[in-house]
Amino acid sequence: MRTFEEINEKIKNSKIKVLTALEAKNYIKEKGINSFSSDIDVVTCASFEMHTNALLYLSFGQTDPMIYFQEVSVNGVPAYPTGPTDIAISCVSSSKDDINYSGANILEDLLLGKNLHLKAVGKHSGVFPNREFETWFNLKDVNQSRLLLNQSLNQNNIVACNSSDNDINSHMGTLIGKLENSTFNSSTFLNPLINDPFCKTIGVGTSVWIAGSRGVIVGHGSSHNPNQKRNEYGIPVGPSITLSSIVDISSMNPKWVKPGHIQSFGPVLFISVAIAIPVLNKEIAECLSITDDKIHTTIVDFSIPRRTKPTFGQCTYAELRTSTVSINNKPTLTAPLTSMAYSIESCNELKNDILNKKFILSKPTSEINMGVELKKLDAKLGELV
Amino acid sequence: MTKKSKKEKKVELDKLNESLSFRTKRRVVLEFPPNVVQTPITYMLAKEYDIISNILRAEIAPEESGKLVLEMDGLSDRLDEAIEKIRGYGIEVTEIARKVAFDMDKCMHCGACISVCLAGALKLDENYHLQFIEPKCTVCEMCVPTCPVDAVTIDI
Repeated sequence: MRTFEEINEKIKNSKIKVLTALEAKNYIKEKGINSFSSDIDVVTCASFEMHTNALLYLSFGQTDPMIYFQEVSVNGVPAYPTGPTDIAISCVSSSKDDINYSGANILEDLLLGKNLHLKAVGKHSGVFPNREFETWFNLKDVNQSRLLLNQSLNQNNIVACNSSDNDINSHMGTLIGKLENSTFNSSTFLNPLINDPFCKTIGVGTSVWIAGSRGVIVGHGSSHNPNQKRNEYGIPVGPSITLSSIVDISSMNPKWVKPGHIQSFGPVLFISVAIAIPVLNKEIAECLSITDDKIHTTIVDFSIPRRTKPTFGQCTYAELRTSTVSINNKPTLTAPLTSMAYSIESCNELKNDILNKKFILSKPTSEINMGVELKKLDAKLGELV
Repeated sequence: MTKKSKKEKKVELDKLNESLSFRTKRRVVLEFPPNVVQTPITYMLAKEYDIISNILRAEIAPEESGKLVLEMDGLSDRLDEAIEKIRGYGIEVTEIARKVAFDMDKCMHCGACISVCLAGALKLDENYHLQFIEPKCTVCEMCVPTCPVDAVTIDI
């Protein structure tokens, strides 16, 4: 029906018809799927979630006399040297002096144009004699600055609850004991991977909008588990496909980057990730019509701190959005951890970028690997046999 | 006879309305030592001081020390008298003057605070923006450490 080339031609000629995921659901409800698939070219989907698998890569110029980094810290946050004057900073590593200052704060400070303090110890060899180096730098002083989000998009997530007697502080928020509350963490009907559950339009090389900058999907990401059980609408009932992306941070908008701190868990990065899904054919249009009542998720009990945790069955996101869900026959308070307000705004932002010809779609160069199995890491004691 | 009683009723109702308009609400934390846990406080407040008490939180077990968070609704001087009377029983009374404040510039409407608000003072509106219904807040302060971006603070 449509091809990527035709859609990009329409963007250039200002004839493109774009809707956000939220508008698309309402459009389909009012005018039907046929009118939608013939009239609309692109739907923007977004997710403003919490990220831990994030790595900031900064590439500096050479100093005089020359240096080969051995130990580096930026504003007290330890950085890992990856070459003479390149460093990688984990967004979840904290400063030695201030536990609340993390790599995610460095990313935000760079985007805000602030000056950061770099301290380095050199290897001291014949070619690189510089032993110690100290400077203040901002984003303009860096040659390249990239962000690797190894779980930039997560297809679905779980509902966390706690049946024990004590409260648990987890990465899914504070879980009050005896099933008093529960949390869920997905942008559901706005999530690109829910709107394209089998990655028909998304693949390696797809353009992705990350906090206002144009990045690219490099493949499947952390904890990618395409074999997850799916419901009758093709939506996995737990964490499934994840995508890894790389993006240049120099044109990012700090509005969409929020460093956070989760109690007893540590620093996290909240960042906005959006993808424009082309309505190539009716099959994709049907996938785009998915609503919260057709998306199921699994309720997991966090009281046992093991890899495999007990579950309390499944529920839909439509139930969860009512803020009370029945877990083990007990009405339980439930709340999201993903900002829907920011996700909707990000959809609008990407829509405007497409309308203003700032963002064009790209055809994937290869498909996402759907045949891999999620491996487990088990301990092996003693020497290698 | 019927007319008069109607008039009388109206006067009574006006009086009641007038007195209601002078009513104020005060939030207190009562800490019960083990020996006075059995004292029927709320009955005494209603019967002797005409105070409507709303229990916001209670952790009381027989033979153990207990804690009660109470919202007292009554005339201001009668509230003072009632608090003195409660203190007379050996119960420790602390008034809650603390308030929870939300910095909406920092807030990203994620909903982490809603999950720990068992009082139901926090919710998302139809546009998924955070809404704080202050009258329902019991100042339990659970939301303060839960916020990932430190948007919630306590005002004293």
